[in-house]
Amino acid sequence: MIKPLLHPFSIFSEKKLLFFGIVLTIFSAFLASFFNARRNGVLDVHFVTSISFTTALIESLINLFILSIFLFIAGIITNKKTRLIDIFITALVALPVFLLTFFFNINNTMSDLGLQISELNSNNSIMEILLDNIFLLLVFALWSLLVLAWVFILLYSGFKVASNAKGSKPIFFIYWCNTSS
Amino acid sequence: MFQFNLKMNPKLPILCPSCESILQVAQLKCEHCNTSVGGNYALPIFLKLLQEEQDFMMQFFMNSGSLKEMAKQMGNSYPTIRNKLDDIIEKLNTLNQK
Repeated sequence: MIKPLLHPFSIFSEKKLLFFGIVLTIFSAFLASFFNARRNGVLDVHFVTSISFTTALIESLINLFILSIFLFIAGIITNKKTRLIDIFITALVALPVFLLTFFFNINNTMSDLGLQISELNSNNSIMEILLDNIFLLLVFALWSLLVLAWVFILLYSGFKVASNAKGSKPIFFIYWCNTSS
Repeated sequence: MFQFNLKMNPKLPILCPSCESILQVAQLKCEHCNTSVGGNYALPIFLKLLQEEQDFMMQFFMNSGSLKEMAKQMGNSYPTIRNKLDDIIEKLNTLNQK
């Protein structure tokens, strides 16, 4: 039951994963424009007041290609037989998982909160932040960590399958790729 | 009186249960006339693989080497099957060098 969610790359064919990944990427760009979420970094989600579908899609594609390039370099270092398509599918399936954080910005809740916090901070009155907002920030932080962990697990299992890496190599390379890109 | 009719398909042991070194063939027997041949013969390299790896090789052979077909049959992705094959090739190379 949990294997398809955490290790889909060892089960499903590349055609299915490619189709699923493309659909997810387009859907995540749609949700990003709907909930005003920006993804202008591989491991970055932040909320703005508005973003168009085209911008959201372009940002998703840039993230996808940058991560794919770094993962492919790491894959070639690990195993010369690593195929670009397997690496690309890994990034394609893993990155849209961030869409699970977008829902927090319903009615611009998180972007308004962000503005409010920076305003309070500039007035040196950050302690006046409402308890409800602290609770919302805590829930968002915990949820984001879970989503991030899922993305890392997907990248790890995808890279492992694509490059046949053994031991701690995939962990090192996934860390390197994400920090570099 | 109870009778058990268990059909066993014993696996060929390839490792010594005591020191885990690779076993050798010391005796061969003709089932037809009960003639036994004693000696010290090395196991063929493919028999030194684990049963699971031997089954994989057999399936690879029966599928004419099509990893895609094997991936379909085994319910795994293509790179997973290719990785298994690469691991077996690496193991065979190591066994060959010994």
